[in-house]
Amino acid sequence: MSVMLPTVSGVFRSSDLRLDGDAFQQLADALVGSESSTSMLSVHGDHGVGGVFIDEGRIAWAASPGARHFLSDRLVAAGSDAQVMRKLVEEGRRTGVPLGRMVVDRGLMSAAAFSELLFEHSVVSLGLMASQRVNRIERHPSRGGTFALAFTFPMVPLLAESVRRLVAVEALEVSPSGDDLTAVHVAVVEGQALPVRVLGARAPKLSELLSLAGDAQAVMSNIDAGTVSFRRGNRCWSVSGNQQSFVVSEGRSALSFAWMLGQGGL
Amino acid sequence: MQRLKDVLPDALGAAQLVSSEGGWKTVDSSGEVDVRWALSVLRSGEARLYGDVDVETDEVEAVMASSDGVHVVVADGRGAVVLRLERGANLGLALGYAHGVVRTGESCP
Repeated sequence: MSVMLPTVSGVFRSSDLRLDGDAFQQLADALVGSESSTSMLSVHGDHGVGGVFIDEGRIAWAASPGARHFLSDRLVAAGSDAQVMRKLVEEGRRTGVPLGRMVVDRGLMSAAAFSELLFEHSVVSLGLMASQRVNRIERHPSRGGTFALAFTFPMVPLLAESVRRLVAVEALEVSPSGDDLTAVHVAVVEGQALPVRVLGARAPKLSELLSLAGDAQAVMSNIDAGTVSFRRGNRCWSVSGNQQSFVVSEGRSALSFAWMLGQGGL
Repeated sequence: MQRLKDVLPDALGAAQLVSSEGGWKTVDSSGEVDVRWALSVLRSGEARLYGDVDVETDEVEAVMASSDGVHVVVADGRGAVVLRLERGANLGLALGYAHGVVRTGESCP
């Protein structure tokens, strides 16, 4: 599965927020529990209740208390007319038609621009959820199957973008090749391996990534810093970096093997 | 060691091991090679890829580059070879050599 994500232009970045390891773990566990389903998560945190809509395992949107802006406010800030937007919100509540569908169908915003805005809104919201104490998360499965939302995003790149804005990590200039290659930059915060950027062509499921990152963290604890590649037949996985920040990759392509060794400066 | 250098000019050390009562027993070694560390790294990574390994036929390998140098490990269920190499060594040559030793059981120099 290729990862097609909107290009984010104006991004939220806050030095005031600090990632809460327990909150991230609870959020990640709840997302993993929904990665093959359609459901809504109610996230009860210290700042109130937020929600994450998951449509067939992909995040449709997330909204957190404390985000200050509702999605409609973001639309207005992006140039939509405030009065028109208020009417659309009311219409959406009455008819059940998603706001984004109305905005795009009526030509108020392009699909690409709305997708970018929705992605950004969800990144900020997940970041806020992961930086406050979470008391509990409730999962509400959708009775009717899918929410039929027009825009959804794979979990891992979205979550990684949220994490990347909360933790200080060096940007990596890498371009791994291989169509079936999973490659993710992982940062270790308070002992937890957290995704900060998807580098490969394939976005793994969140459960796959957490397992891969955990294994990589165990390997890295043996070598402090460097590169390790494992291979059996044409299957391989590699980890490169140090105990605080590393890239982990897995795939059938022998290219990942060569690429990771190259990263190690051989 | 000289015989090993003739085959692998970048080699700094080598060890050959056989499987013995659930562990590894070194049967031959030359030069400096950190067998225990190399095998511990292999073990820490093997569960992910090697969980369903057929010990009679499947060969697994790990290449590790760190401040301690470059190590190559190749193993199947019966034997293993650990090589320590200079940085920048020809890894393809080293892996080919190690696989050959594991497959044939021919003694390391």
